[in-house]
Amino acid sequence: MNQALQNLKHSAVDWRMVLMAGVLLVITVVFNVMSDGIFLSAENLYNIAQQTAVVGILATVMVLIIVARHIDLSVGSVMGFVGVLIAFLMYTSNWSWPVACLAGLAASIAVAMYQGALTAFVGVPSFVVTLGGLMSFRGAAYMVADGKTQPLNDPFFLKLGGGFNGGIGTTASWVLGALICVAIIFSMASKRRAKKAYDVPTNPLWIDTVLALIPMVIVMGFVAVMNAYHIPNKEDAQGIPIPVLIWGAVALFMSFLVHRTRFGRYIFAMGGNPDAAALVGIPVRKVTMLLFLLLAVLTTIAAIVAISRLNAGTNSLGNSLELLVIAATVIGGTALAGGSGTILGSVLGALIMQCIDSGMLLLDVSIGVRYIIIGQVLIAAVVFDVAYRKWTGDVL
Amino acid sequence: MKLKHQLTALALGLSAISAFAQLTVGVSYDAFQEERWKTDEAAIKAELAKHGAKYIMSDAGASTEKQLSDIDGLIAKGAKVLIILGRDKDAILPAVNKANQLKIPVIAYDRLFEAPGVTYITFDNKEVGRMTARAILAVKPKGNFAIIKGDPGDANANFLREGQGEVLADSIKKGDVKIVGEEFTAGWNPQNAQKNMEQILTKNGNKVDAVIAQNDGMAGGVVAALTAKGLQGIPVSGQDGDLGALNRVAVGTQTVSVWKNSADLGTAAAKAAVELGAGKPVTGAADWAGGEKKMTLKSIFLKPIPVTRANLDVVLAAGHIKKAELCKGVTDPSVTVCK
Amino acid sequence: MNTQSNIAESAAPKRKADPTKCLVGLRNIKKAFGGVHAVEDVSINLYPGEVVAVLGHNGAGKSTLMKMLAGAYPIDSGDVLINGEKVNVRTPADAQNLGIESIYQTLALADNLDSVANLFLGRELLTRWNTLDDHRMDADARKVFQRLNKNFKNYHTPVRRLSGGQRQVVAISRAIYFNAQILIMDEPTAALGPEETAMVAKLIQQLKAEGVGIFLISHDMHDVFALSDRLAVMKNGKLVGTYRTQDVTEDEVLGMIILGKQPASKLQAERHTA
Repeated sequence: MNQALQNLKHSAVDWRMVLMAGVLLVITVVFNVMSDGIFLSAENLYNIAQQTAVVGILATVMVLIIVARHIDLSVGSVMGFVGVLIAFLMYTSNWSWPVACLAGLAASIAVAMYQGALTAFVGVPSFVVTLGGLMSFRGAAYMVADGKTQPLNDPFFLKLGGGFNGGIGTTASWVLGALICVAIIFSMASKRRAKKAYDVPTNPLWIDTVLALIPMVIVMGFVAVMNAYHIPNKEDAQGIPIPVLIWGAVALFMSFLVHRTRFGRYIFAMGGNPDAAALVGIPVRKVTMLLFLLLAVLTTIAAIVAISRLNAGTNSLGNSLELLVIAATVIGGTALAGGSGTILGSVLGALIMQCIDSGMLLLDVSIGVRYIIIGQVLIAAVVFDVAYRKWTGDVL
Repeated sequence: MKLKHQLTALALGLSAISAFAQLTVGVSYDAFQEERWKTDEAAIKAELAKHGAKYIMSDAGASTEKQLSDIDGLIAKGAKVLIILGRDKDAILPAVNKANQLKIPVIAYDRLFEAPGVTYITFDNKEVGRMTARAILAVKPKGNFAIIKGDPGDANANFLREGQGEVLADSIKKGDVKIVGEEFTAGWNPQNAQKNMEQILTKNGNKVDAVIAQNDGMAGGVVAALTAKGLQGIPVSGQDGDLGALNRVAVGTQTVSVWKNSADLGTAAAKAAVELGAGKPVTGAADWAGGEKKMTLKSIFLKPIPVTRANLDVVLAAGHIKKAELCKGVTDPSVTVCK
Repeated sequence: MNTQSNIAESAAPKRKADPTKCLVGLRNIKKAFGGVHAVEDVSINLYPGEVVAVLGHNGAGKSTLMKMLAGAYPIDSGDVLINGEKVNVRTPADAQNLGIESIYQTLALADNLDSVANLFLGRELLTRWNTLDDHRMDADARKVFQRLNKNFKNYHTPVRRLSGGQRQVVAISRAIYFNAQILIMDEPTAALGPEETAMVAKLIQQLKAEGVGIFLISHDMHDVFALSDRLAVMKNGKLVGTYRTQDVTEDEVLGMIILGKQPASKLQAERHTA
């Protein structure tokens, strides 16, 4: 029995991820019962998917930042600044949305270069740099439009935030789902083939089949739910909301960066042992700047989704967002000490937080109690993470 | 002989100068977040300049603690009258008491705090609440209503709710109106309002007939949530006269924006400050004891204006908004101001 | 970044050194940190197939000197000659390109990554699309690890979970895989038990036979006398003297380390006679 437990402990399956998925499942079931079945309705799940997207997008890059032993407290303020800027350029300056977005990207990159250079080259702790940024860029957000809300009405741009016309429809959703399943099968097959070519032992076929089936079931299940949400008086069901597509694409890209590129590997090495990284010749400063650049791009994407969802750029956009993003990242298993974290974890962490918040809203839980509970959930997640690491001997 | 003349002239000159010594008025804002405070500031400055008084200000950046030290700073800089936009009605009292001890008159601007001798100048916030509810009831006398409230720590959110409650009371008793969802919104934040509205809609199977939102920023979030479900056009209220909101009123996605011409409020407060600075009582102020502590305060209540499609010309005439901004995207020919 | 390793098995060029030519020549190396002279005018030679031990008390400058050769610190003044040619070693990549590999006292391992990742850290093998070639690195790593320790099997656990000896294997395997021509070992046996120390000793003999030149920083007198051909003693940043190990006694060495006292009537040896 002990041996079996030992094997389980050190096997390649990340039990923490499995547990988090389990917790998410339990949360949804509990809320569903308590809300008389509304929680798991297609409409509510559609709500949650849209509500989580902005935090989810930013959480994927926050994972890398925290893994690299940095932190970004300014992400909410910078996103707000970029968002208001893009909205202002569209509404007041009458620019077309692609040009306005490019301008927003340029501004975002300038901010990242500034904060990144201070962190990477001057050596100011990122906590301090971004703490200053948190305050400064909130002020900048106010100054862009003199505090005035900038409403948006470009029909294509508004799709990017979801909403009435922001779903891709049933056919496209099924097709996309099918394509993803094919990709999953293909990638599993090619992995097995490559392992055989290099004489590396492969998992038994039944395990690999299960490992491939699980994501396929989840994807098709998700598509089915999204296709079940039908707004009355509209011809077609909504299908997958565009912000979720954007979030999904971002998560896949980030996952690719982490697992398949030197950049991702170096981020983890720098977080695991900064001295070792320097000694083996990793260009630490260059990698740090690239990380901040990546942050700039994702902040712009998040800002675009945020203002298009709200149909306006307001000066309070992204207020306190950094707290939610960091909480989602930490709940998802990223260690604040650095060196450890996963993109999938950030997705689960963001979903767990939003499910709890939205679920409590369905149950009319008062605002004070809601905030208390969310805060304690964050602590519980970290306590569990610490305990799990102790159990597996993974002490940091 | 000549020296005596010179000394007398000097003495007369000095007393003349002191008689016309410039009054310094200190204004403490709690946070410039909402659009409107710039308008207030412009009006206060203009009125003070008319009376030859000096304007100094501080911005507490949404922090109650900072507002206390801000007020200390204003006093140190020579403010002889204080106009305070109090962030927290209880936390602000130490600063107010200090001002009282130094015999510096204090005006509670827009938001109530209660301390002896304070002059309370505001728009009647309860009346604002009543106006929002009245405008909604006028177009939708029966149905399911949702109420999107402001920040739970802001006393105004409660005043508004009281006023709204008064107007809705009869309809609720008769069963014509049912409140199917009511939520506070942290920080009056539009994104939070959007999320709260989405959940209320889902909870009630989208059977919501009207939404009373307590300000325009949140009304924007509410309309975004409604639009996402194809429900835009149901009655929605707001306040502040935000330019985007007035446009929504013209387009038809928002029913009313209760406009407090903050220029009027600023002017009234500045005028009162000048009078208090000269040791005179404030003209037009009456006794009022409607606060939590039931303290009697000299108060001026200005009347807000509910702006609906019917009277959009008011905001145009006052120069508050330009026609191009007001009429963007308006296709309905019945909106005459936009022709 | 080093991209030389794109061909099969041990990819870095296998260099066969000329035993008569000086492999590494450190000439008048100086380095100061602020006002502190960490290394002052030090000159040492290293020939192929020999082990030169570098000794001195804490703060004598041995690690600093070796880190400069490894490209971890910039040299203030002085020259480095590899095979008779002057070179510029400004970064760890420069050193690696010259065939210089280091096994640091701290091992320079990223604890959160596995052994394969650590072996290739900074010099990953890439597919033709510039992504990490995990399978090839895995296969190559297995071969190297097996050569050093047949029982080492946990290739995919994070190295923080491995024993001291296993971590040492990972660090040493870098030098083997990338065909080090010059190896710097900083306290290689400090954290090891007797069995593992014997493994390291055997390895050193093997590398010597292949013509690799080794700088060995060590406090352990027993190791120094058992493994090195010559020894160089530093004190307070300066070189006290260089002698053939067989020519001096332990007491004389201690005398050099502690007092900076040259042993009486002994000839300094700039090189190991073939």
